Amino acid sequence: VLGGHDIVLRTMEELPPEASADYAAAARMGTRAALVVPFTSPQGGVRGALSVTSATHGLAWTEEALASARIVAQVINSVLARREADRAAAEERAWLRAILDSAADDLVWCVDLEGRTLIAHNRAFARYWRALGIGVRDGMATEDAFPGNPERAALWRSLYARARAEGSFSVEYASVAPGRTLVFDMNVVEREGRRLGISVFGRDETEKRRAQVDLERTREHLLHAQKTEALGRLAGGVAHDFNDLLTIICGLTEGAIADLGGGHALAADLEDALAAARRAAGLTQQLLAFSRRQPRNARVVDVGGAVRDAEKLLRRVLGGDIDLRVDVRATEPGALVDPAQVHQVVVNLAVNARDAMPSGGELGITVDEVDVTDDEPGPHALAPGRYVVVEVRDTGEGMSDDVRARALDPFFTTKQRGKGTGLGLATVLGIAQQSGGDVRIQSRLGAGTSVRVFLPKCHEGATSEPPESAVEGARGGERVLVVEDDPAVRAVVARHLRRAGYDVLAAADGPAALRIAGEQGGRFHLVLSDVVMPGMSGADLGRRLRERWPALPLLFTTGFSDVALDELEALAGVPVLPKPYSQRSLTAAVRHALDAAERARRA
Amino acid sequence: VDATRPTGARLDALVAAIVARLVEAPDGEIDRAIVDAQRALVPLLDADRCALWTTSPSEPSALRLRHILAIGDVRSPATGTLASDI
Repeated sequence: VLGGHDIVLRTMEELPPEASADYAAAARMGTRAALVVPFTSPQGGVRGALSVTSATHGLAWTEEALASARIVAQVINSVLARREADRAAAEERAWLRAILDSAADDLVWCVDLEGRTLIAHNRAFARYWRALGIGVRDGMATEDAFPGNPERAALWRSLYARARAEGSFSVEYASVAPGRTLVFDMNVVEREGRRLGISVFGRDETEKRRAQVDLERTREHLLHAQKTEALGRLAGGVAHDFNDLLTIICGLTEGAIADLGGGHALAADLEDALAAARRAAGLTQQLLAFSRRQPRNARVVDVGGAVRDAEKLLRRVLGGDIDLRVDVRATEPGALVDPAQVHQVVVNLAVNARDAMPSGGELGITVDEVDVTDDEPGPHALAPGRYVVVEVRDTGEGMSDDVRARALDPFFTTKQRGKGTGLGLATVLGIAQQSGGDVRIQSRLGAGTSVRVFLPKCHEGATSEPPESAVEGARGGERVLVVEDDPAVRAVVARHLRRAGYDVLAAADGPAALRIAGEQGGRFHLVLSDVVMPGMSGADLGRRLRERWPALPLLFTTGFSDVALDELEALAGVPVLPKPYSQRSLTAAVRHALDAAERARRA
Repeated sequence: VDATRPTGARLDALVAAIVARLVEAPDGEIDRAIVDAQRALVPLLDADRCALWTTSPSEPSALRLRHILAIGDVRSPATGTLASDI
């Protein structure tokens, strides 16, 4: 049988002698006659056999009987083969389906070559359409996926036609689901050289695109920050050297005016020279502010009060065509800032607003408190918390998107040459960020501008400092050690202080100051020291002096220095007099430091 | 030869009926249709047993009993029995 031969036995005795085992088996089963017809697979191997036997009598098998058995055997063979093929095909389909469904998020489907009917789809595809309220099934028409939207159906038919004509291609697609971007790879499905349909592999690239945009934005922020940092270092370095020079120029000019007396013919020229030097000093302060290197006398300030204090000056700056409205909504909005910087912020913003309203308009300044819980993500995102917000808004010409995007860049200006330095808003930003806050601008061309300055709220009570005017021009007779590496600055400072009645000793650097202090046994009422000096910084000098004489009063003066300012943080409570300074502010600061030390000593 | 056995056109018609029943059987009823075919074939050929043996891809040289139909008290091996074990 396994050789493919029919067995026809009328009786078992017809078995040849070598088939004795078969004879024995037949005897065990009581078989008297047998007809066995094998059937084969398409490849030729024997797949099985149909046997018809008799246990009761021998049989003379006719050709008809043999033919009948062969027919039935072959049909059984076909039916079994069909079932096996069906099962194999079903298993293959299940595998393919599982493979397609393993693409959990990618949409995969196939249509017929004309793009009319859906042939196959995966689970993600069905889920996508279900989310849009449409159930899909194999065999459905393309149009049925877009009820009431024939344009979409036409679009897909054109894509299928393109695939049919051109072969594989990819296409970006704005989904019918709002705000989603999909990318589809179109392919022609072929089998044994025959084109069967068009397959589509789609993926949702919305998040990927969003991440790319975020990355690009972060990169832009980083580049901008690096550019600003480089500009800041350059500007800060220039400003530092300028401050030393301006200290000398202002000091000598003030001294000359004092020596000559007000009635002298040269006095008016010297006053003009002094005014120009002070304007230059103001410019260096702007440079330092935007580069966040401005020495700060930060304290808890009633920002609303500071804005109200500036109101009178603002009215003079703005002129009569502009209607100024100040609204302080919070009762005691305190922030840890330098009060002079609050003044600078408001004036800078008001001047910008004025220039945006050449024909007049309204300028509103509001001071309020807000809670920031979820700021727009980014490198300059505000930390969650409570902020004092100074908002300055105008009804002026507003800004285009391009201008608004660059408005905070240092040296960017839309004003005519000579009308603006491009440092106004950069300075405001520098001050805000130096205080841990930030600036937000809203503007539209023709619809005015709103600039909001966020300053972190400080929960301590606002402190009041004696106004400088109270001690301006103050004199004294105490002994002061002046430490300054620039000989010209040192000479000017010593001259001013002596003129105000003080007993002055001067040192060119830290080691010299330590030596003099040692010789004098620390018998000074005050040490006035520059911060940035070669060899030993002012902060180092201060620490060493305090080690020996803990109660020795100190007053620092500086143009700027990142490192030195950081170090000064460690010497908390030591006042800092920013360069350049006038004779008045120098003597006022010295008097103030001496009086504060005396109060502390008595307490 | 039993003179009552159908022959000629009648036999052809009866075999055709068996074939039709097999061909039309849905996937889940094929085994039952085979047994029915065996039951119909046995009296046609004046026999008393009909067995279907198949090989498998793992046992291409072994015939294993898949379906058997026996009439009366005729002894029959159990399905699953190898032909060589009888």
